Amino acid sequence: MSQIAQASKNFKIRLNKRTLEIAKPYFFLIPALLLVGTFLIYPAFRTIIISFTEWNGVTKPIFVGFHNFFKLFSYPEFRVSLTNTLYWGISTLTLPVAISLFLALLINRASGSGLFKVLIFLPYTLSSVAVGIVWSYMYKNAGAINEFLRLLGLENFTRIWMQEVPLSNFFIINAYIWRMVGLNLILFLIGLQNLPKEPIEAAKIEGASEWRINMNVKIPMLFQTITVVVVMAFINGLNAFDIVWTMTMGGPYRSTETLAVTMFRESFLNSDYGVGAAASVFLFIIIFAAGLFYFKVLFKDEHD
Amino acid sequence: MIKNKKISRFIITVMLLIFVIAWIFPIWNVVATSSKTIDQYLKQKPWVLSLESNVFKQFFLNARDGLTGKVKGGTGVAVFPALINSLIYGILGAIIAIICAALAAYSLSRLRVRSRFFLFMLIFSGTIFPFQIYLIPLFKMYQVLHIYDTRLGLILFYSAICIPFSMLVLRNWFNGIPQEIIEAAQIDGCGSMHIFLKMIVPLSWAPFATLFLLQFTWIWNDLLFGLTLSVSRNIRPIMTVLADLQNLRAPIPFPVVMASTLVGSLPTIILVIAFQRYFFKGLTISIAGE
Repeated sequence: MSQIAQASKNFKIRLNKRTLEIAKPYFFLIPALLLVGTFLIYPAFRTIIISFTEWNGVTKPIFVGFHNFFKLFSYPEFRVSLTNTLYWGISTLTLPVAISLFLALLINRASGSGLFKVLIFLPYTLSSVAVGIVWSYMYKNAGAINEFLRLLGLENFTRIWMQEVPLSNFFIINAYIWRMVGLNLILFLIGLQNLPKEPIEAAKIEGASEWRINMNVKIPMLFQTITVVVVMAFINGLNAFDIVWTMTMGGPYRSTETLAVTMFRESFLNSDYGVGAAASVFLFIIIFAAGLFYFKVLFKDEHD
Repeated sequence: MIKNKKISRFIITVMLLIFVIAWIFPIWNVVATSSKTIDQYLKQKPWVLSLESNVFKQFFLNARDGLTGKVKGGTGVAVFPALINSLIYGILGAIIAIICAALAAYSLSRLRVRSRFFLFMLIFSGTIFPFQIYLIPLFKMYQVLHIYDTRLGLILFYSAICIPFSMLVLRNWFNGIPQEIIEAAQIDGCGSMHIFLKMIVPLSWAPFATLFLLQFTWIWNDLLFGLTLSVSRNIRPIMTVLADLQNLRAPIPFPVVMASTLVGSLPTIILVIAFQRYFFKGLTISIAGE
């Protein structure tokens, strides 16, 4: 009797030990899954649900289907926001990449390239908020741009730049690009360094000009880096909130809002959580599409 | 031909020099203004540095006024508590994130786990959403859990948002550690936790440092979540306070605002410049995802 009991006890212990052995690897995952699940994944899905409801945050949410999305596309203040987001998308898709690629190719041919690199990178070490403050000061009435114009005797051209709607959007974008060029430049310089030397040497021997080598040899070989940088710049540009909030808070009269800012304003200042959620879901769809494209390019080599 | 090349090199260098001076001119404006008295600020052009007065002393005075928030004729906004808050959030958030991410990455890379790819994607999916999508439920959840406007709440969120990317980087790093080392330890009868602490961690200080640098900088520079998840002055992180200085038009002398902005930016500038190599390496990983 006692022998049987002993045996079954042993078996139980062994079984427990084995289950423990199998379960153990999952324990390592628990802290990460718990934090990511609670603070990122759950809120993301909850927002998708909220986007189909009308909700002021206090009373019960009412299911309204796609109404919030229709609102987003038809109300004039949201139309402005969508247009501005389009400005941001197009500008950040092209300018930071073009400027930094041009600079990277130039810096490679100049003396003292290390110094240039660090100085152009410097704005990226500032936060978006700090960059917003730096450029707000430039655009102020008594700021550097106006003072410079006054110095040149161009008094008539002085403006309060942040109130020049809709150009003010591009002034904010300018500040944003100023910060991001340094990052892209570093990535391009690393990319250029890693290019195979032979094709470039071959082109040189054949007497191709620097310009031809850049356009026909280096840029095509940089294609993957360029695509990745373009898509990242696009995603980050659409997400930009901090810099707009610091410079204008989306004003004056909601004229410089982008979707990211509209989302914040509608949710936390106007308590229209449904529209806020819809704006963020719409952003998610655009960014997700861009992200898919990004992964396709990134893992292209592995598929081939 | 060679002479031509030298000339073109010279021209390019001069052009770049002019460009770079224009490029950092906005920063120079802030530096110059932050070391002025109000009178000087009102009278002089923004970019002029008045050398007849002691600029270092004036910068120090402006920075002090910004840090303590003591301003003549009114209450200012004290920057110092916010600096301490951000220091806490940045350090703890980054460390907690790296620990959680390392444990998860170790499990996914080295241990027997079913549906490994699914679990990996589950954690990694934290990087595909725009930040805006988290805000509303977080805000509501924080109020229900009573962690709205607390340090704990911010630390938890910052840890969570830093985990997915850290996990990706560490998983790739752990995959590169030779299997033989680990097998040898297993034969000696070491448990998986023991192997993690005694073999994996000592080999991984380089990616830990790079990740800490990137995540600390990210948390320090964040405005959006600080704005959403906290409201009181003694909880809010530095960037929300700087944005307030800019937007609230509080009765704070402009040179003090500029000095506060510089003080609030210095930690990350110094970190990034000092550890350039690690930082650039981290950036290439974050973009190329390797």
